[in-house]
Amino acid sequence: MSDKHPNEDVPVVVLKSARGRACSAADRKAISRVVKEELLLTSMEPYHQAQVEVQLTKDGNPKALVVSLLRAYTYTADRVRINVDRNYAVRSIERASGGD
Amino acid sequence: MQDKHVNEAAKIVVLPSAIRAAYRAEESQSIQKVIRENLLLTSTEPYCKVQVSVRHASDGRPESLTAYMLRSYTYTVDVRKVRVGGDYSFRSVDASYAATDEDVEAWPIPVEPKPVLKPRMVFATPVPEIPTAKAAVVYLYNMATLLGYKCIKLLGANASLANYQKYLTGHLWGFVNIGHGNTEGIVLSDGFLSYKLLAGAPKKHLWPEVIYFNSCQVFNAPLQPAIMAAGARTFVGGRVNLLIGPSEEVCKCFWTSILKKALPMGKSLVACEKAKYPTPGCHGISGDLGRFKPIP
Repeated sequence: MSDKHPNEDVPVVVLKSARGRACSAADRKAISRVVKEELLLTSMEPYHQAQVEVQLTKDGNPKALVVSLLRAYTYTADRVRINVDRNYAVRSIERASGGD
Repeated sequence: MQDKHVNEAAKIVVLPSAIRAAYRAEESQSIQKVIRENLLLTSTEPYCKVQVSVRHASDGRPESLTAYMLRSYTYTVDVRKVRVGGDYSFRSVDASYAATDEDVEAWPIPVEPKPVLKPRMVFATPVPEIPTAKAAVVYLYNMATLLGYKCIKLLGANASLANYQKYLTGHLWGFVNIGHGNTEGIVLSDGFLSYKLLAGAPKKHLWPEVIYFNSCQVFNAPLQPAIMAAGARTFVGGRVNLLIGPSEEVCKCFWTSILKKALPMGKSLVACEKAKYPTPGCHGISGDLGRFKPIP
């Protein structure tokens, strides 16, 4: 029997940025990987979906990923901010819920 | 042949502001005069309507007029800021007016729908892929429609920030969201409806709505006080984490009790939670706890 993590198949939805820009397929792939590796696969909490708002710098490079993690068994949204560099390498993670 | 300007008959509507529900006839006339003479009659672009929002200084005197100019032949709105004196005397126009942070957080311009078409209730879920969430929305929509209310159902992508802002400010009688949340807001299909956005709403903006957020932890600061401060008649939400499945049963029971059986809202919530939820005290209710009807 395979030992599958409960969040392995959780869909990661990348929202349009505040400026209405959609991410490229390559960006979405990189974002999904970060969210999966840093949040979903390291959590014991089963999730239904992860929604990601990408925050950009003035010159259009990624600055942070604000992630809403929707739990699978309650209507709870856990909010996490992942600060990234322009290549989506993780700089830091802030786990306090936030409304930004 | 008379040479009539294309915008001479354009309608100018003065909107209620955060500190003033209405403007006296003389003030409205002064505002309309400034807009007509300095924006409409100086433009070659035909407009069908201009909506004007008045900004006041801290001492209550008018400071500027933000004009939302609706074009006649396209769904374009041109926004201009007109600076005025305390007596609405014209000072200057900012033609390249760009929304400030303050404006971005402001609520949309309230547009009064035609009475016949005006929806009274909205039932919504951004997560219709959760069967119990969708079933609850469909149940509530069907029940309220059968009872004669004009209702709107928002599922999935339609449960968006724009639609929630539009309908929440539409002076509805009831608004139900079934979806994920926390103490600071709720998650919609395209983003997070934060208490910060609600905190920017004028005092009576949500009146007379009974707002039910079937979401975790929303009945806590800062979200709950922000909703009440924005004028909700009644607010119901989760004090703690709400279980997917049983919480929708409480929601359905509550609305059935208050709409069909005309029971008081406060007592209905307590009774429904007792009947349908495994743990007491998980839901909170604030504001008017009496009967849903008559609508104040």
